[in-house]
Amino acid sequence: MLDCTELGVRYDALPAVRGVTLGVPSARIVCVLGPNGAGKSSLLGAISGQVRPVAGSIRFDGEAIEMLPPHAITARGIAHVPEGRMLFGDLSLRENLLLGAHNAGSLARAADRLDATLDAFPMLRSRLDEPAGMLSGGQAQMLALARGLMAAPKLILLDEPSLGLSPKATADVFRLVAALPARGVAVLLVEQNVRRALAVSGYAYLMRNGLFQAQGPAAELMRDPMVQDAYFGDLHAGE
Amino acid sequence: MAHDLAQNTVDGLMTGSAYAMLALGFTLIFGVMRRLNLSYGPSIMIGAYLGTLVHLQFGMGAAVVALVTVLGAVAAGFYVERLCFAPMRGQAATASMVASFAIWMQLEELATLLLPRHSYPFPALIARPPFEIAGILIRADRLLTLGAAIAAMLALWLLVHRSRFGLALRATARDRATARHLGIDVDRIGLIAFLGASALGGLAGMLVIAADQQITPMFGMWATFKGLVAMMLGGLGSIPGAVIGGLLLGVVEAHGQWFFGPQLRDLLVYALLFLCLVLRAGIGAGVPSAERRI
Ligand SMILES: Nc1ncnc2c1ncn2[C@@H]1O[C@H](COP(=O)(O)OP(=O)(O)O)[C@@H](O)[C@H]1O
Ligand SMILES: [Mg+2]
Repeated sequence: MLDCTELGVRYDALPAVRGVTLGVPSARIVCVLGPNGAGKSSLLGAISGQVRPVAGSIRFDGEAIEMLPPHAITARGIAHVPEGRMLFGDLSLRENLLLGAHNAGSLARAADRLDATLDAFPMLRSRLDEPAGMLSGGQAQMLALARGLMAAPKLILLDEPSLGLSPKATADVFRLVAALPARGVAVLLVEQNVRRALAVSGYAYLMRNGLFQAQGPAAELMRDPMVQDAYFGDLHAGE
Repeated sequence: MAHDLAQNTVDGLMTGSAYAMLALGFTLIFGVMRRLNLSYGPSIMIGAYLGTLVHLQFGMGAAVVALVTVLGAVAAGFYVERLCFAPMRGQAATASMVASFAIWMQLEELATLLLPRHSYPFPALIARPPFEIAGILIRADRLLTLGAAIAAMLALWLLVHRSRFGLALRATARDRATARHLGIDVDRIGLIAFLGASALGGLAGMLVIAADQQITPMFGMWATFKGLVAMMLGGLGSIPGAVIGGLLLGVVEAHGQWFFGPQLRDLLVYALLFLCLVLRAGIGAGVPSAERRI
């Protein structure tokens, strides 16, 4: 469904992504793992149109999208839940969620989606009129996820959704992510929590210095001694 | 004395309602873009000059002139947005402001090229003598301005707080990057807000000029100044604030003019502005931004 070929991103002269090729099949979870500065967020940004790639192509459902502006990409069914959640703290949960459904075209249709989306987020439903800034880290991440799903995406890009969360909140987030394919949503997951990410993913890429160093079915990578050393050790020593 | 106070207050509210509309337009632009558009008044003036031109050349009546004025202000606003704001989105607030000052000069030049004399007649919207309620003289065209200001404020409030566009506008005002992440076309939102502000300004300017029944090249500076002061009195970037600021400015001016004359009147306004800014800085100490969000 999503196919990136030889994708390159640079900031001024600094390359952040240096020619990576990746695919996400529909209704599957694919993850990209790697340390800080590897270029993971830049890769997602290129897919959702936040940054223009300097090289390569991005095809979504067969259509080249690398030159489209972000709103056109969202309209085609790609939602991007950014790193650090980026909620509007002084707007209500309801307003944050409705904003996620901007591509629905009208407030009425966005409100319909709101009702359907909230079924998976019962703890948000009772607090719809509170400001988003009142939420705890775990709840805020749930809201960010729900806001992403409000776009009714075919593919959702998740940038480090477990960052800074308690073990319990992390487990909640991964449980929700794991359930997305059953709802027909494909996931491109960026994580530093290697163990959990591999556990929910079908396929994984390991990224460092803007390049993919290894890739393969998640179950195989989990057993790979090279991966064990390079990624389980230094990324999450304290986990 | 009591009668003077009442009459001045009523007069001030009527004039202030035009200031409030000017401030609403400023607020819309400032609230979304965090940028001052100094060419705001001059682009309204271009609209009014085009209206006058249509009046003089083709003998068009008040309704057509009013329409041409508003549309002309929107067209001039579009020109300013493309030149000063669209190329510098998301950065360089000062560059936009300086550029809008340069365009101000250009628009004033254009106005005097179109109509070189110092002042021209502008058709009145309602040409009937003032009427009296409880001893207070009221001009019908000023009353119309007040009504238009109330309608504009309500419409703007509904648009911002009850529509999909308004929600996207508030998101863009808070954080452009996040709004883009959500698939909001932030450039388009900015442009529409800008044109809406120009239309609102055009309406306000048209009502003021029609009440004065004349236009001069000073109008651009006048409109930018009144709108800016009213917005600052109301606390930068809030819709109710812009209205309160506009009305306050009108009332203070009316009393100042009556009791102290025109020079001291303006001094009084500056003193009030200074007081407002100082008080707000005091209240807002420790708060990261004293500016309110639309
Ligand atoms: N907006 C930016 N401007 C300049 N450099 C950036 C920007 N965003 C990221 N970078 C740089 O690009 C590289 C990759 O960053 P990023 O994509 O955020 O990696 P990751 O998400 O894997 O931590 C880093 O060296 C980072 O400093
Ligand atoms: Mg990142």
